[in-house]
Amino acid sequence: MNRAFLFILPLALSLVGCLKDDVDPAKLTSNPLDQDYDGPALIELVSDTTRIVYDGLNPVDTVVEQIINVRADLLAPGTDYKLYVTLVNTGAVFDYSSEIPPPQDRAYHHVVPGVAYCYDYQLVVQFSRTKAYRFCTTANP
Amino acid sequence: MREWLLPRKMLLIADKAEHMNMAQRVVTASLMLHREKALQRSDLGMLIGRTYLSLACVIIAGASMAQSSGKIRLQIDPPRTFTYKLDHRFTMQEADLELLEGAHHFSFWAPQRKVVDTTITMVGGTDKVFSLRLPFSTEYLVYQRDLRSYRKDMRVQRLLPVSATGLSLIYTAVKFGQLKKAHDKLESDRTAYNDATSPYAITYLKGDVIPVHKDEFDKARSGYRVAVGITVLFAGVTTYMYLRSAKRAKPEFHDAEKVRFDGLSWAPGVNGGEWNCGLTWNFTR
Repeated sequence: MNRAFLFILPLALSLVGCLKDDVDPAKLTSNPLDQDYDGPALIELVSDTTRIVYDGLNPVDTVVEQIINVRADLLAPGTDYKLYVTLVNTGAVFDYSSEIPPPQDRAYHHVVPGVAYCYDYQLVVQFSRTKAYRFCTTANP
Repeated sequence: MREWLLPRKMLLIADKAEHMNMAQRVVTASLMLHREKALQRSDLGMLIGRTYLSLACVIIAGASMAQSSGKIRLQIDPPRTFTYKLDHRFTMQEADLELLEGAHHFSFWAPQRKVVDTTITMVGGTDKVFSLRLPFSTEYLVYQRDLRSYRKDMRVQRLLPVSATGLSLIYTAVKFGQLKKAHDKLESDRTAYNDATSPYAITYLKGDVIPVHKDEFDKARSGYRVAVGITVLFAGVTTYMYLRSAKRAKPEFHDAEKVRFDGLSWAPGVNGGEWNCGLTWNFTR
């Protein structure tokens, strides 16, 4: 009888040890679609530039442009996504919503030299957005 | 019957004369013994004289020892284990007897029973049935009472804690099942997180589902710990009760009536009493 208890009790305690609660939401950061994702960047900045737009020979505008790359290889195969870009400048947000803007709209217009202009890039997957990647470029024509 | 009535040598002779009655057998045996002794002396004259003398004795003994016998069947409860002493001398277990007529003393006894003394008067040429239920001895009744008390105490001191421990073990097993279920939910949440294909699904999982499941797991773990604690407590109590109850000696039955029947008895007195011992030897064997 006593030997049985000597066997049962360590077994019960070891079972408790096996069933530890090690699922911490704050530590779940490995999914690229997670807002708290901390793995390799899903969206990378390839290059940025400040460009003067001419109308013929007359300069009509100064714009800041960025070229980014989406790491689709980090997503599950077959994941359908759209790029969601927000232009951030002195508190004003230019939201392109879920539409991918046409090439002529992918820039800050009428930029002031020496001022930093930032873009927030996100992916829209099944009507919800991923973590935002912000890249800033200082207007320097 | 012949065995305790006659000396062994005479028995051998008497066996040859089954048709004779008891008195005739005794005298015939006596005569034949005399003949054997006479032949050894090779004194023919004396032999003839003694033979006539013995024949005369046969006639006289036949007339004077015409004592008949009767049969008796003993129906004693318990039927298998009873023993009796006949006429304070012979310890026997046979249920069917053939006795000489007259009064015979019987002391009946069986394990756990009282010794019962009685006298049975035999009438020659009749069959008799004697029925008796031996009452349980006082020592056995006291032993039975003590044994019941012992078993009851053992039930309380051992069976009860063991049952409680067993129930708590079942309760612990149920609680462990709940804990395992809650743990499995969290594990499935982890898998769902890794496999999620929607940011909203991840947000909902981390913001709503997992906290609820963690709460369930915490509750299940608390319940399981309480159950383990109760089981440990009961196991400790059970061990303690076992060790405690092991010190109590199990009642043993000492059959004082057997001692009394066998001839050794204790007579209590004012100054402590005394042992009485009787010795019986069957010289016919």
